Amino acid sequence: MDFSIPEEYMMLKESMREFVKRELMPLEKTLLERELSLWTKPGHLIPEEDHKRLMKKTKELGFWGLEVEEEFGGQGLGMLAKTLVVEELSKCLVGFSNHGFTLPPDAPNLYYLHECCGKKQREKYFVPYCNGEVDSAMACTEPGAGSDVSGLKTRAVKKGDKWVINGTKTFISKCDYDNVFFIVIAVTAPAAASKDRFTAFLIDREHPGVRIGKEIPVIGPMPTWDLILEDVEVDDDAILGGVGKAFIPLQNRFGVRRIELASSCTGMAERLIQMMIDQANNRITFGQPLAERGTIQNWIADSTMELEQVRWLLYYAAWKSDQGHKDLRIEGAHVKVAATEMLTRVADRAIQIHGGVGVSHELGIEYVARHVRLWRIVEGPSEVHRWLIARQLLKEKKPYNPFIVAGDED
Amino acid sequence: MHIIVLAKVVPDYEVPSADFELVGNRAHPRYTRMIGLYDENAIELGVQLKEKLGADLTVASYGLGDDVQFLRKALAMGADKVVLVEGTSDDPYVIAANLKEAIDRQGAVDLVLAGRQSSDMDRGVVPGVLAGMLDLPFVPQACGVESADGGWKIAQITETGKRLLKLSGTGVLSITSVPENVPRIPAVKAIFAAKKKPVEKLAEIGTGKMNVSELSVAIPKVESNCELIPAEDMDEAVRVLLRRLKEERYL
Repeated sequence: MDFSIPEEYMMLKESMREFVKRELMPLEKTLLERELSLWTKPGHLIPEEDHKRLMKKTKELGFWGLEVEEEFGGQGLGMLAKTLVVEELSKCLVGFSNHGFTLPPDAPNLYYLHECCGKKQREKYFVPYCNGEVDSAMACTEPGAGSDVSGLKTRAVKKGDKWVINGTKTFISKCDYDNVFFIVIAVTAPAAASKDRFTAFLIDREHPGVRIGKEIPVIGPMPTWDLILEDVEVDDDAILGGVGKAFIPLQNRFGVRRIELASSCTGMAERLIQMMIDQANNRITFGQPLAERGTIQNWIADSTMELEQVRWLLYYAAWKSDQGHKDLRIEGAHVKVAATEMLTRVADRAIQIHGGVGVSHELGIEYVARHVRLWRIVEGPSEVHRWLIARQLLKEKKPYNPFIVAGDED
Repeated sequence: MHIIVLAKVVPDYEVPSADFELVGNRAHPRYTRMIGLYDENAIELGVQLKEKLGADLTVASYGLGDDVQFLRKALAMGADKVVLVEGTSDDPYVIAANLKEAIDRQGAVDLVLAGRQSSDMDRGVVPGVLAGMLDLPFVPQACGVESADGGWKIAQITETGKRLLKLSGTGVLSITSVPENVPRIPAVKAIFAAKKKPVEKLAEIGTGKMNVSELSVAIPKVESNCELIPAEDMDEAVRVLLRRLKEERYL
């Protein structure tokens, strides 16, 4: 087993570290101020002109689509490279927030589109999506159906040569983006088994009958809206993949996202541990630096152990993806739960070690704590992932097997 | 046209001096290594000249064989080649003599750039000594260079402003940092291309040392005293702060 990191990957990390230092860190204060005002004044976490500048600079530096294959305009470097870069990016609140600044294109939807787009859809949606000209949002969740999609009520009914779609979606993101289209999941065969019951439709936000409902304020910076579909009429052209065939690609879409989400958690945890170390060394109470106290030492040691446990699991999952393994359901579930729960604990300790300043909006740790609370629910709550892991192992009647024997050297 | 930039790999210069740990009068080996601060300004200037003039750009270094991985950043920034003389001396004469040897092997050279001082020893002696050995003019504290009829137009930073100089023919310049030579961030494609660029390793040549020997090295203990300045009136607060800094001779 070789745990050394390739020199190029280290340089990639260094480049992103420098970019974060120069371009993202100066925006942290702005982000924290704006996040508070977003409760009453809708808008983005960072100013539009700053976002544009960050997009332009990261494109010039070649940071777009690191894990995306070269044929779609990406760099084809794989998930491990992406993981290392996202960790660096996420050491700043701006890059940590998925509504602050992330590197386009958003790969999970990209792969879904790539797998299922027809010829016309490829020109209309996929190509502009690869170029960052349009954005996509998944519209699946409904008031009565989240992780369990069997409760979906949105119906698409064929009338003549048109599909008529009716239903209400909720917690749908990106509704305020400039150019956005939705991947709407609707029931087309109510009596069928789940793998044949749902169909995905590509629908522009401006399409007649599509209405953006109220924004749903939540605990952290995750703007989402209700999305109402009233007699939305579309042709067969709007169907993504086959009729009734949305379920399986929808499941596959999540693996990559979970690795990326976990990288955001490990990156930020490292930053918080640095803040804990600095605070412990500098803060004097009752004649002693905090660093001298056992409780504080335990917090720093525990946080480090928990971070490193997740980090190496994460690198393993990313590496496994790069080795061409497609079924990463267990690994994806594993890192998603481990990373979000780890950061929850680390953020809580980081708040505690900073006392009153720790809960102030100025320092940003409470922002991390709120944000990661969201992440224990979005992309599948922890319990559903645990269930997935256990179900698989119980079915196979064996413990998890992490071993992949190295192939012959060329 | 061929431009040489000198670069030295040093221990992490962002570590505050009060935290620095010494072993045998030098940084503990656990510190991350990187190209020196001003050396990167010189590399950036070299890359800009390369882009403008279509010159070849070679980075010459004296140091540890394992430091090639850090010198490769210069290749990712845009240099074409690295020449490293493997050696462990800290003596400016030894370093300069070895760099001269490396430069002599590169054929005709039109300009030699160096950082104004290394980020570990902070002496700024090697570029001048090297210029002497190469029998070339030496211009310290340069910040900008342009090609001008067979020579170079050089901007030199002084305490209070800039001085413009004309250098006919080749020379050695030591470069200081200005906003125009902030080192670029290596782009993703350039990072992967860097691995394919040539790296030449040379064995050290034996040479005499300077007649200066190091007696001791000490890191001063940093004391912090906190003095609060009332900030009700910002203008007044700034005036008081400025006066106090001058009184305590920090400015």
